[in-house]
Amino acid sequence: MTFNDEPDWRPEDHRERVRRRALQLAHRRRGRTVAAAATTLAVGIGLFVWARNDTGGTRIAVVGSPSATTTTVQPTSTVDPSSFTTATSAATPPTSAPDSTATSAAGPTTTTVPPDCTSDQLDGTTTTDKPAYATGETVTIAVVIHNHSGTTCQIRNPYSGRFGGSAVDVTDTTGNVVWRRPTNEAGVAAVLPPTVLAPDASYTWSTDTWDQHRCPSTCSYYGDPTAEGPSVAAGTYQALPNAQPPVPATPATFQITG
Amino acid sequence: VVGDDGSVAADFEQLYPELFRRAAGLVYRMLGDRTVAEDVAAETLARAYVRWKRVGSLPYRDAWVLRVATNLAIDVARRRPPSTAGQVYSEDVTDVVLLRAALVAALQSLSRRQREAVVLRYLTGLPEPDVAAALGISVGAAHSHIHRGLASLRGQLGPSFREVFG
Repeated sequence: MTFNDEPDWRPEDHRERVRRRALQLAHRRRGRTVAAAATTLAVGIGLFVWARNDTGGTRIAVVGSPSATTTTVQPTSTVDPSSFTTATSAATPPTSAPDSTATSAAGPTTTTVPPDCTSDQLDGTTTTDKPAYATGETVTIAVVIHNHSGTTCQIRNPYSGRFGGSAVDVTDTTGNVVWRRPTNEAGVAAVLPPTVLAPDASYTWSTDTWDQHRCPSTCSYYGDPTAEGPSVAAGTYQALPNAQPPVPATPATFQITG
Repeated sequence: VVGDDGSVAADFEQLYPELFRRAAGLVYRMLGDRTVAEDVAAETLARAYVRWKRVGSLPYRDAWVLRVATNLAIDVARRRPPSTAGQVYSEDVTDVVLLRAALVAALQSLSRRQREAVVLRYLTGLPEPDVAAALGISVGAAHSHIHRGLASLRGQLGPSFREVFG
């Protein structure tokens, strides 16, 4: 035996595990990229909010709690509603969390975050901009979510990972999903604050455009957003929200003509 | 390169057997353990696969793969006890096993750059310009790392140095 003796290698015996390990590494890389972007954006938003409210007080915003949370801090500053994103509304305009009540008096401030909405509090309506489209024409799909309960709750934005779903699915007449926008396409949305829905408030949860191409192979939340399959055939299709929690919704039915 | 359906880049498929053999052979020469060599080669190829869009087009693609294999092998050597512990070998095998153990210990004492340069030059047989390209440094700098690394290894390995490095 010498230093340079080598066994007879069998690369093919290891090809499958190399492939599996590569897929695992690829998913981890994507996760790290999204997390880094989210952290950067969160820090940016935090600095922005801090700068806007830097009047000597401190405000703590608690988001993401599954149940109502109360945080007391002092001293205080007045909440500036313009520092939060807003959405269209019906009866009562929704705001983004936290749903804060605050005073400019010297006393403590109470910040209340409503619980996450549950499926039985919500209903949805899906609409398309047209009832029929020529082949290749862009389909615009909007999802409006309505809180029909008597309780204020908050709903996650689409694309926000396991809390938000992927906004909308397009299915063919057999119910097969032919298109779903990958969640990681809109990683920025993952760090947007949830939207607070007061009783009877409605909120345009998502507006998506679809170029009539199928998902590349399977419709995945984590697919490559630039990858596309072939165009769908002419026929009847339905669009439905894909939200967590699931939202009972009226689907939008539309035609693609040849 | 890696789709959700596990699709594989065609050129990676084609190059995979040769790259695997080279990576496994390098690690085996360093550590002397077939199973570990295959594990490290598999991990190396998986890492190359994930980055194949970039790595596949590099002029020093093979060197990139071997460099990753070298560093993974050193990581493995750091984590595990010496392979000679509790094992009985015939005399000629013992010499090689001890030589490998000494070589890995000596390689670990080098700086990362020196180690990578020496391994790529002498354990994989790459010419100096390829070593320089793989490490992203000038040929002169690569030569310097190799020279200093060899000098250090010569001092640590003594007479065994010639058996490994000729």
